[in-house]
Amino acid sequence: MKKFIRWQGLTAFVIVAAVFGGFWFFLADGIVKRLIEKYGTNAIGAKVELGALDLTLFPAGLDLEQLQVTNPDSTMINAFEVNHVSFTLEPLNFLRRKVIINEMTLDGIRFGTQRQTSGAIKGKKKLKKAKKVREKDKIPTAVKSPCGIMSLPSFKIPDVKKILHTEQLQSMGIINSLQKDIQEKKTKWEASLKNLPDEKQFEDYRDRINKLKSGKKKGISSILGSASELSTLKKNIMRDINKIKNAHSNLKDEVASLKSRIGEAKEAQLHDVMRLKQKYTLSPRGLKHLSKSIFGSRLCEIVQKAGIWYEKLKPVIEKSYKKEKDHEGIKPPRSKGVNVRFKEYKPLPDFLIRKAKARVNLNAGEITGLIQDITPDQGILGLPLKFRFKGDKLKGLESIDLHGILNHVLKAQSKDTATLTVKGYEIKNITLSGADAFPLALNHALADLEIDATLKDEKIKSNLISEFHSVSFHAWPSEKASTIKTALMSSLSSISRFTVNAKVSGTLSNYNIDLTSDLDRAFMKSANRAVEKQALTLEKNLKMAVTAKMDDPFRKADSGIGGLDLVGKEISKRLNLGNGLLGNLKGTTSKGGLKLPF
Amino acid sequence: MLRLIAKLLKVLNSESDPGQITLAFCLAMILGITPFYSLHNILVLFLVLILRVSLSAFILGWAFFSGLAYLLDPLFHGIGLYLLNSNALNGLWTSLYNITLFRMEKFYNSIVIGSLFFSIILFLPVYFLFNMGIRRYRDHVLTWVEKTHVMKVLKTSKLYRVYQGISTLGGTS
Repeated sequence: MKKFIRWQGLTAFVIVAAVFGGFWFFLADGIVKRLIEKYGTNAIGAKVELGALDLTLFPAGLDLEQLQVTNPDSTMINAFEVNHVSFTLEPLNFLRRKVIINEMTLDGIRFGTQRQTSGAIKGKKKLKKAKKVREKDKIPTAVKSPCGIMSLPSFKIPDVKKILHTEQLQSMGIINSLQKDIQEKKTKWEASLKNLPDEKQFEDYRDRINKLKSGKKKGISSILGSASELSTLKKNIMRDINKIKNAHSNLKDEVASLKSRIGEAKEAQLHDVMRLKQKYTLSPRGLKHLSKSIFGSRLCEIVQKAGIWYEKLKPVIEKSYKKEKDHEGIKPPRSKGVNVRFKEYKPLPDFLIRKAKARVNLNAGEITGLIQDITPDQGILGLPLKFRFKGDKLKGLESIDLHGILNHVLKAQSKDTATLTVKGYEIKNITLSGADAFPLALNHALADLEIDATLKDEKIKSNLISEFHSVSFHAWPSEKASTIKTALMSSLSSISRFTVNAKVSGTLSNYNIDLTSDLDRAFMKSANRAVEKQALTLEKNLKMAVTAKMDDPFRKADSGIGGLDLVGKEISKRLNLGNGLLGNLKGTTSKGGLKLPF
Repeated sequence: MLRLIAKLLKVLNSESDPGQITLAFCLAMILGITPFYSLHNILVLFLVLILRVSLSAFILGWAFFSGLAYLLDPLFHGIGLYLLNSNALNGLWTSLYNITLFRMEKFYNSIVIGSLFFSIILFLPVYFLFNMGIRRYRDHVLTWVEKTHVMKVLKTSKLYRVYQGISTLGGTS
């Protein structure tokens, strides 16, 4: 036996094992503490710090004291702080690399506590990492937009000069095109006038007639010759007169058409005034959605924050698996290999907290909560995550109850629901609208509200019913306040209770908020007359400004038509000359002068 | 490098039983080839300490096989993946997967099972081959080498001085 066994070796083995045990006993606490801080800091992007840590073997568990998680967006503030965290692990499962915690206690959770030192992480690499994490948390542009559109309308009468500077007038378009047409027609008619028989032509005809009149005709052939010449002359005069007549008639039609277009332009001018009035005046319809502008942005902020927190918590309830079956062709990192999973007889997730009891310390008092079955592998456990937080008789809050189920057992049919019921929440000095148009604060109110939210197939559906009583608003008066604003402010002073209901629908990144409140009715009632009066003033101002702007183009158009009228007069004059000549010719043939011998 | 060769020669030329040397080599093969932080390596270290094997041979073998393991890594991964994905063995793996001790062994990792399989398969052949090799070396080569002219020259070399230095420093391990 002695030939094969080296008893000193056994001693050495025991010594080595004892060294490892001692190492564990004395140093493991510090190592695990540093590991938690290191991995936590990397994951959050800002310092995660632990006051103390105690690792116990019997029973296997951890006790953490003073856990601080810095808010990566504001490094002098903790996102949350927990006084004491303790839990025990199932040792056999832990040896199987499964963290199964039967019960976890989180005592003294506080949010937004002040830090004594900055929680920013030093070093370029770490900063980059932190930036990456924060970038991830940034609100997508699509999410920002619903809040952006809820701006308050302006209650002031808009400046008409600015309006006319930016707006296109339809009447201006019509008159400009008319002016161009008048100019073209004027040029055309001036050219046509040259082609029409003129005074000289008619003088020529007169000379020929006189010549025929004064000539002594002897013999039949001479008489017949004169008659034929007379007939030709008459035909020519008639042809010229017809030509002038046609031109006269055409010109008359065209002038009439141009004049009617001037009428259209004047009508368009009126339309422009009405259109701009509608666009720039605050309509009673605009007042109907005033509450959406006042409360919408605040509600939007809440929905955004809820969305961000949901995305942050999602990895806790749903793990994204890589395709594990197909290991062929995978080139793993050197000496790492790939892990192949096999069926477990009693399947358990890799990470599970069966029950977590939490005590949240708010300024108002303590809220206790219970979260059950926290695991990213709900499909393996077959149970959804359930939570309930309750608080009663708190300072400035009668009761609060938040409960819900995050069901990701079947990933394709995941459904998350949450209900929040708040009773007797005392609101003090909350700014509802910081906009210059209508700065408004809620001095005091007692609120009861109920929110139901469901997220299914990536689509959110949420209902908010809230009732505010013992209400006192505060709106900042100003000397230059418009009549509408004054009317709204006076209506607010008489409101002692109101309701706000909202429906949120869409996806987490692109949702729509439909908000209604009985405040709108009160606003409309009080501000309707002021809105109408303001609209009339704006209409008057617009009329004056548009008329002044259109005056010159209209004058130019009128003068252009005046130019065509002159052409018409010239044509009339020529027509008279022709007609006179024709009359003269008739006298020659019927009454005296040239008489036929038969 | 010279020290390493000298150490090897010293181990081979020592009075130790060839079985002690080859067993140390074979155990070093398991430790060197498989990932160090594996459960079975505690057993290997225990055996190395408790059995009368040559510790020098074990350390030398560990260094050698660790280097070899790095080169053969892709081969171990391939073997491991083949074994773990084999339908015939699926029942065995599933049973082992449900036993805590084997789960701690992390046998379901392709490199762990591939390298362990490789080293266990080679354990006996390597043991007998090395054993035979050492015996033959001592019986024939060593006697013949010492008589050769080259060895006589070599005895005057730096390598021999190093070898002698080591021989004087430590006895058999």
